[in-house]
Amino acid sequence: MKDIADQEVIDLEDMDVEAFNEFAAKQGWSDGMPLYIPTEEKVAKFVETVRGDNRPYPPVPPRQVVPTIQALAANAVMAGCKPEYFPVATAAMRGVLDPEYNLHGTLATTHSCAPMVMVSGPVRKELNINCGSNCFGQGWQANATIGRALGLMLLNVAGAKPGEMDRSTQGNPAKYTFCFGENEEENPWTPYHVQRGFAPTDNVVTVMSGEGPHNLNDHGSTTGIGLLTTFAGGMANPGANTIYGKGPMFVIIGPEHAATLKRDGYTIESIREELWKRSRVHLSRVSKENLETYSTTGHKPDGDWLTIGRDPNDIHITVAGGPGKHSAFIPSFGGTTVACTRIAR
Amino acid sequence: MTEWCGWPVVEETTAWEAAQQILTDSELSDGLPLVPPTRRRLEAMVA
Repeated sequence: MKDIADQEVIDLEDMDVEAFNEFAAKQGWSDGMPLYIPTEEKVAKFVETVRGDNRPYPPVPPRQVVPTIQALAANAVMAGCKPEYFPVATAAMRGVLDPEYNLHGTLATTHSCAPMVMVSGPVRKELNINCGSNCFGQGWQANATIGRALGLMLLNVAGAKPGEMDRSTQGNPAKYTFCFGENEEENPWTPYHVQRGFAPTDNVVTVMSGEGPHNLNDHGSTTGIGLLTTFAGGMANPGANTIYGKGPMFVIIGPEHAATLKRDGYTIESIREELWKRSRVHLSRVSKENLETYSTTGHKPDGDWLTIGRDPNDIHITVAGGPGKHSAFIPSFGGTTVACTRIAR
Repeated sequence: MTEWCGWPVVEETTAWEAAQQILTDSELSDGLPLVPPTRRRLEAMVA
């Protein structure tokens, strides 16, 4: 970050949007896509949406600066958010500041992790957050810009500049934006935020530092156990950080797969147990050097198998997406947590 | 708004926010901010 970014208000004179984008890119404020100008008027409108949420923000690592709400709002404006999205973006920011989330580690690592943002509760419909077909993809302003706002906050407030503080070897397209809604309406079990102790009517943002979604395709299985066999096979990955056995992961079940599992009597708990048993990685798939390392860090094999995660509770389950025989696995950075934050509105 | 080879052309004087709405209403947006396709930009792109 340049010193100019530490100024609360910058006089852009009569700079147009095109010139602002060139200026912002030179300052290192851009993710490479077009930005809106965060005028004082726009920033004030965004700040108004979180009036009353007076909880202080802790210092944001790695830079360890205490963010002003105006600085967060400026990044949400630049991302293309509507003002009403801002309470969701700030809840996501509070989530990544949970000490267990390990923001410094997740931003400075060579791993490709990006902040996954999942929205639950009635706010999904109010803001038109996509929970159905293509929920991880393009086409919805709320999904696209809320996830992007968090990314710009981490770039410009946290200081996660690629190649400098952000040391990711290859990065990940999800670093541009990764926000979706739970498909609570087609979840035959309990919505994720309710699993975590919130009321169904609460509006909640869940964050996890993860890879992009790995597709779990199964058009052939007609039984719950068949689907879980496929899911577990996709999760048993010796190249994901879950192999270290010390962090969470998400399985986002598509509605059609969820209906099959529900029909066959599966619950969230029994899905977790079954995936836990079946997603172990056989030692024949782990190099000798890696096995020695894992053993010295406390992750010892169970017979001829290595578990992913610490126990079944590391496997977080919910439903999202539209019609089709697909689900998704999202492995995490490993040394992180799944943080839930109520949206202040 | 006018058209250029079948595509909407946004006037130079149109505010970016208004241009976004025009492009969104035309189902041309992926949800992220777009650079408005003005005649000047289009001609520069194909030159």
